[in-house]
Amino acid sequence: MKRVPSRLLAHALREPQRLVEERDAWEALIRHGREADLLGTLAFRLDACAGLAQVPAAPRAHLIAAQNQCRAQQAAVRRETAEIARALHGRGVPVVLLKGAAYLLAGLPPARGRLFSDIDILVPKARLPEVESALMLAGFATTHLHPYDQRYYRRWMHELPPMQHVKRLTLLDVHHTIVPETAGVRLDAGALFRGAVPLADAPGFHVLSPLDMVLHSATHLFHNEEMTHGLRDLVDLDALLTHFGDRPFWPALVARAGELDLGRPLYYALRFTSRMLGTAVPGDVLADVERYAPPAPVRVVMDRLLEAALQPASAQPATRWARRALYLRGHWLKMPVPLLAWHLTAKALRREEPA
Amino acid sequence: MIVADLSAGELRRRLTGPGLRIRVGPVAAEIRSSFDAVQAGLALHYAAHDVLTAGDFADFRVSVERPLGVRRWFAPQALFRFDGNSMFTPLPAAQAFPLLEWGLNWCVSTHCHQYIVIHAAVLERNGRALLLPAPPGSGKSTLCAALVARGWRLLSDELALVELTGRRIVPFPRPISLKNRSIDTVARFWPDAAIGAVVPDTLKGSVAHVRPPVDSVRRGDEAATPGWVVLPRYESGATTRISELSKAEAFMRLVESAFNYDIHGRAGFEALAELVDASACHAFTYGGALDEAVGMFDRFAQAA
Amino acid sequence: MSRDPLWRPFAPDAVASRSWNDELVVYNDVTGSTHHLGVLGSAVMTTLLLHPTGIAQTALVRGIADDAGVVADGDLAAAVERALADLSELRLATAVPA
Repeated sequence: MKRVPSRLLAHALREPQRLVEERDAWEALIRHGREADLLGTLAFRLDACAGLAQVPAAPRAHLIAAQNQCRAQQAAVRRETAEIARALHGRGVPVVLLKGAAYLLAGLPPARGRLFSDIDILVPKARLPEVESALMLAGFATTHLHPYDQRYYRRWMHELPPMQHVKRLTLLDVHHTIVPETAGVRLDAGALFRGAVPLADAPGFHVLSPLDMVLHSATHLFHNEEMTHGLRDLVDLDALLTHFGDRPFWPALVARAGELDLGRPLYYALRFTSRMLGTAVPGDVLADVERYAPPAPVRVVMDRLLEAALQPASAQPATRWARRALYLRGHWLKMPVPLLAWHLTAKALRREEPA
Repeated sequence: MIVADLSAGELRRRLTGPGLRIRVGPVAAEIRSSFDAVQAGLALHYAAHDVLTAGDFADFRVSVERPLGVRRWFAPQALFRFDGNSMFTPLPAAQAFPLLEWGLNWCVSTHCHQYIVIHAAVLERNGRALLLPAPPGSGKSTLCAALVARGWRLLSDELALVELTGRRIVPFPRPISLKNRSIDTVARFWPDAAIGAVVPDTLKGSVAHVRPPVDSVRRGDEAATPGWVVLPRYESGATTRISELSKAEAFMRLVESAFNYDIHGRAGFEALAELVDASACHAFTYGGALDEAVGMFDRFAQAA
Repeated sequence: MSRDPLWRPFAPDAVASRSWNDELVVYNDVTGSTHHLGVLGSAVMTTLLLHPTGIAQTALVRGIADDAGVVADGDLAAAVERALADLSELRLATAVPA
């Protein structure tokens, strides 16, 4: 069963029960999976269809290693959210967990086998100073100490500079909206909070409503500058859409995208999950989001860029180039062009400074 | 087929083409490099290692190559790549072979979470493992080489791979790395040692590698059960002596020396506790009298 | 705060421990940390683990004194109090609210 290497991982995730026996395929699969941070997910899906025991011993060791890592990270995320709760206790600040931490604490499918990097939370913009100082009291220190970077994050982005706990070294990103204010998208963060769902098992924490969770995942992937987790984020999206996607969900999703001015990311999300991962998006929904598509020439270029960028870098040489192009696009989406030029120049110049 | 069965031309062809695919204990690596020093190092130190057959799975794909760029000509460098990605700064080209060795250590310590990976030398006698967890400067490598010279089987000079039951340690036989004065010390103590090129001016000083004995390589699939955990300490001129070490302290030293203890959580705790339970734990001081040191360990092995 | 507070392990199921020669090593799943407790700390922790629903501080001190064959004097009590504070900080022990 020979497959084009770059599609190998996507196919394996979709149909883990159809195991590939040849040496070449397993080596490439493990390599791509490792690079895309999806080994844990692959291991979980194989486990779920009772296929893990049938994997040859040598590649299976890597899958088991990834499972061990995943388990450890899940425990760490739980501990970390407990610490964040302690730090913010009693202040009445609504805290919405985003992405991995949200999937884990809400018990959602994307959490299974997921490898986490940092924790993302969303708080109201007006409460940011208070949240930042409470976190600092609890041992979280701000990173990116160069004043330029600090300004970049605070004024132009939608988050504080990443914070890192001084002892535990865990990373925390504090957001006040899900799209940067400079991006020309008029998103009302208040709407996100109004729709947020409290977590019974984690008092003080909320997660986004299912519609907003999907839209956030789509926005994060398609607006973001770094595509290193592109395929993983797409896998998350597929898992969310599959989990939530019943008859009432789809039209509500399209409507909500309109409300929040996130139609374009939704268009890409549905297009790429259905094409690359076979997500069961109803045909009429795909037709419905066509109105959010970019002009045809842009669409062709974006299609190629995204498809290349969403593969692990080792799968095809085009990927690194595509990522670089998308990095620029990610930045471009976030900032008006003159600001972007200045930002990139400043960043490049700083690399030349003596250490 | 072993590496020694390949002609120099064939070795070169593989290293500069499809990759040299070899087995090292439980791990298989695919290695590429255009450096002569890397080819020479592999030919010497990995002579007895098995070459993979078609259909075998390689765990890691690594390469040591010259980075592109102007520096190629006036200050040549060597760059380590893992799965095609370079995440580490290049080193001077002369350090190409030590860079490969270091890179292979990195691959295992960062990825082999099916084991508890401990920074320690591991040797075996009578089926039982001697674990020497020790920070740099403790003389662990010199001691390791000396024990191997006198017949102890080498499992590893750097990385102990402990199964999660805590009851078996798996070999990962590779060249023993020595630094600075230790190179001469070992050369004198072990005249038959196959010591490779001495590479000067690395971050650790001068570095050289000793070929692992053929027997250690051939028995690379034979695990050992716990025997002793010994914390060595080198003190110039000191008398060779064994002293008591509480098991709790030995345990904590293993915890601190493990690369991936945090990943295993409670299971890691239980595994290392099993290992310590089943081992005799000691502190060991020696002043350079290697014969005495080896003699002491030999007596342990006999008493077991 | 009661003058003879009740102490118990913070999360008894989250703890794994092993003892060699009266020295305890402890893994705490609450924090993910591993600790090597000194002789007194080990004695206190071992006693707490035997009383998951709680033991009064004075009874704790008396028990340790009896095991060690010493008098339960002020010095011992103070030392135990410090050990309990340390264990509390490590989330290994907690005082039961009155």
